[in-house]
Amino acid sequence: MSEESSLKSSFSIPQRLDQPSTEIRNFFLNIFDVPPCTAQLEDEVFWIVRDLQSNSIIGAIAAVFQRYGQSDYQECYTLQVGISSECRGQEIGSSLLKAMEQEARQRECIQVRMRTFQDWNLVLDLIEKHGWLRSKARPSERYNFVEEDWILPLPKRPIQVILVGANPNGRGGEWAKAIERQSQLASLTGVVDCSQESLKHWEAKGLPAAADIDDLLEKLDTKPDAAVLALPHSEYSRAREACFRHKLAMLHEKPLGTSLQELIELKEKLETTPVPLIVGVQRRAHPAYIYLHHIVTEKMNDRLPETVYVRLALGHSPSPSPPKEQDLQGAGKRWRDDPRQARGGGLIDLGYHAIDLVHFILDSPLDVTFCSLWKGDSPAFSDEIDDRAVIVGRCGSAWVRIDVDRFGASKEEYMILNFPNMQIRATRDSVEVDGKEQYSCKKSWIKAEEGVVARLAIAPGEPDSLEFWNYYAVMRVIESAKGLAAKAGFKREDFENE
Amino acid sequence: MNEEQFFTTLEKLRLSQAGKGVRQSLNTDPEPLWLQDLLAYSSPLTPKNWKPVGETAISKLILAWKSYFNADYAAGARTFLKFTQEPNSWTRAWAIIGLAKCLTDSLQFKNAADWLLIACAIGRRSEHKDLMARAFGAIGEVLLRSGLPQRALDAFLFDEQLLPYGDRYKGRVMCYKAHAYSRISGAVDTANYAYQLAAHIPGEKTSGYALGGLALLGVNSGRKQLLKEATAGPIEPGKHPGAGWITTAQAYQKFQDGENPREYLKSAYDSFPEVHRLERRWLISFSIALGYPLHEVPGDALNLSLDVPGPADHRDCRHITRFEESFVHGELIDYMIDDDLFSSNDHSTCWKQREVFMP
Repeated sequence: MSEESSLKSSFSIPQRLDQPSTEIRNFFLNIFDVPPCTAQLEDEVFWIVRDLQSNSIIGAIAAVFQRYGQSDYQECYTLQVGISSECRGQEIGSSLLKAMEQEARQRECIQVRMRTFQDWNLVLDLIEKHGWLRSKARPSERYNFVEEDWILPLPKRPIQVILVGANPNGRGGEWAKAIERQSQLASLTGVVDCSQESLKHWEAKGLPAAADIDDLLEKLDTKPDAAVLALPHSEYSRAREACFRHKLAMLHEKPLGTSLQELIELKEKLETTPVPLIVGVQRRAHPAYIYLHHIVTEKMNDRLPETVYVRLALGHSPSPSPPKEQDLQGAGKRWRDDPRQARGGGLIDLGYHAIDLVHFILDSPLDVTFCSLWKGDSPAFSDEIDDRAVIVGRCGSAWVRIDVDRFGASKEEYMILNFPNMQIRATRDSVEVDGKEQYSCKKSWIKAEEGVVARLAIAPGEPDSLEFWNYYAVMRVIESAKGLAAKAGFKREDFENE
Repeated sequence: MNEEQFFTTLEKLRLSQAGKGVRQSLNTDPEPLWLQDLLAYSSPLTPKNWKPVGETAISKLILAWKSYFNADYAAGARTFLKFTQEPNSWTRAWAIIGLAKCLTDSLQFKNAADWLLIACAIGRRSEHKDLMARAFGAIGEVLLRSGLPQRALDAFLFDEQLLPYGDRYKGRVMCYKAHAYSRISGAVDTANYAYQLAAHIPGEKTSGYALGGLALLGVNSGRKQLLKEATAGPIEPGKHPGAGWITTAQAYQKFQDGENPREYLKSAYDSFPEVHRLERRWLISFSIALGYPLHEVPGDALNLSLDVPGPADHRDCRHITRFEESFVHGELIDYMIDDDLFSSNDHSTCWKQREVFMP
């Protein structure tokens, strides 16, 4: 028998207790330097692991189960996780988490929640390994550090998802990978794409594939729960119609509509056919921006910054030759260079992200003062594919400037907020206050995408109206900016009717 | 009169064509001398030999602005520099803008932009949008003259939107926008539209400059019709600096058509007021490059060099944020004003060089 398995056999399996005992309280008090919050709560349950030789507690979890009003939705909230220091790294935490998760599933909770602090490295490693997702981050009053909220989504079964717009090398491919990583939450059951090349790719992987949603559904034995839409901008309207027809929940890549008129029509449709709708704008789900949001909304006591600057540049080189007609169709092709399909350039593509980020962080809609759109070094009409957009406006008292560039000398993404006596600079991997790093995380979109898939998996059966109004506000800014930009006050008709 | 009343009066003044209503009310209700100075300064009817009657900061600043308009940049800059530390934010920013304008006309673009960023920040922090508009407009001019018309256009667009509806400076900003478009590839039509509109926006006497710009655009784009439209406008040679540019454009067109441009060059020279020394100096160089030299010799009469320190230690530097800086961004170049500046014998190079001083 190995030393490791001999150690494991010296611990008990997790044991469930309905009442806090003095022994449990003392156990937590020995580990944490502040009294466990379990003392103030009722209806908590505990799972403990004992050392079989000494019979003392060496690991414990405290949790409560909460129901939301009269609804059927229940969730489990983890209050405290503690492992004796000499027993760490021996799977005790895993066994406790599994026991808690098992009961949460039996009670049909939609998720388990937990709050952590950034110096709880062992717990952080443990829960990340167990598929927990970061949902919020904020400065901590408790340890003068950072606290984060995590969720473990618990759908009754993995939802069945189809992918509409399935370019293996594009956004569709990214979503397919996110779904694959979240196999306990979702499974990909089919793909839709107009390109034969893409369809062959997915068929070779054993997935049913078709050129449109209706054809795919005929091929499937079971009706899917949801569709991930990752399409050229002009194609969303038709895809959404099919989703409404088949009552499929939607994970909709941005932009949600390309005009206010399209959004008004979508809203009417959602009222008559209420299906869940989640927009895949990942910055709202990215830890760095979530942390920044909390600094601005909580630590600053709703004081808005004096100025805000947002820069997004992709750092690509523009294609040396204009696209030919055959280049514009199908997956992986240059549809973004075709005004009929893209319905805009930098403003609707990157500008959409930047405007939404400003709305998210400042919690106030942008009132556009001016906008300029550029194609190379020349001004662009608002119906052309602009490479670069400058938007200046105000959010409340804050002056905001957004610079987005489809190309640019290098890939750049940062946001600078200036308060009267403080500057905050956020990138995707850090948040600095007056040049000192306060928060750091991985730059990757992987966790943000997984978070969006999780939201889809546990979405209630109807649309979240806030989700719609968030993106209605973005489109309002884009239309206003376009109106101001159209060669800065001159419309295309001015020239065409000359 | 408190500050609020002052700005209310100023706003009325700005929105009325010549502050007529305000001046009428002053006749019955005498106001401080500095306000009389301000009103007189703002009036298009002010005689050339007018001098301020007050001794306040505003009266002295008005005199400095008069020096600037008379191209006495050294005298203007001296006074403006003194008032860049004023306690009142409005007069401080007004002095900074004046200083930066003197630096701009002396082709010290980097120093001018550094000062203007401070004025922008003061205007923004004190919610004086009129100051913000002036400061961003002045930044636009610096960028335009530095050869960055795309960035200049952003500054002018912001300036335009900051001004209230019907503001008398709208025409001037439209004209600056047109100058920027005229230097941007693929924007000839847009420049034409902007010049035509600027020439007809009432409020400030911009039409001469707009028609001058239109004439230059006509020559640059090879659209003779635009030159024809500019010359058919109401600007008579010798009556407005804009006429200097119209006749300069006519001269170059004549030269390109193989005709003798001498009469037009001379008329252009006479149309530029004496204080427009850079324009006159350039025109002489241009006439030499065309092979039809005007009889005046350049000499060393320019003497526009200004010794103004940068604003590095100014107390408001710390209020400049990336918001303001993002309008300027690129490297600005300061030019040394000397005889070598316009010494090219190649007429197309010399033609292009005017962009350094012609807004």
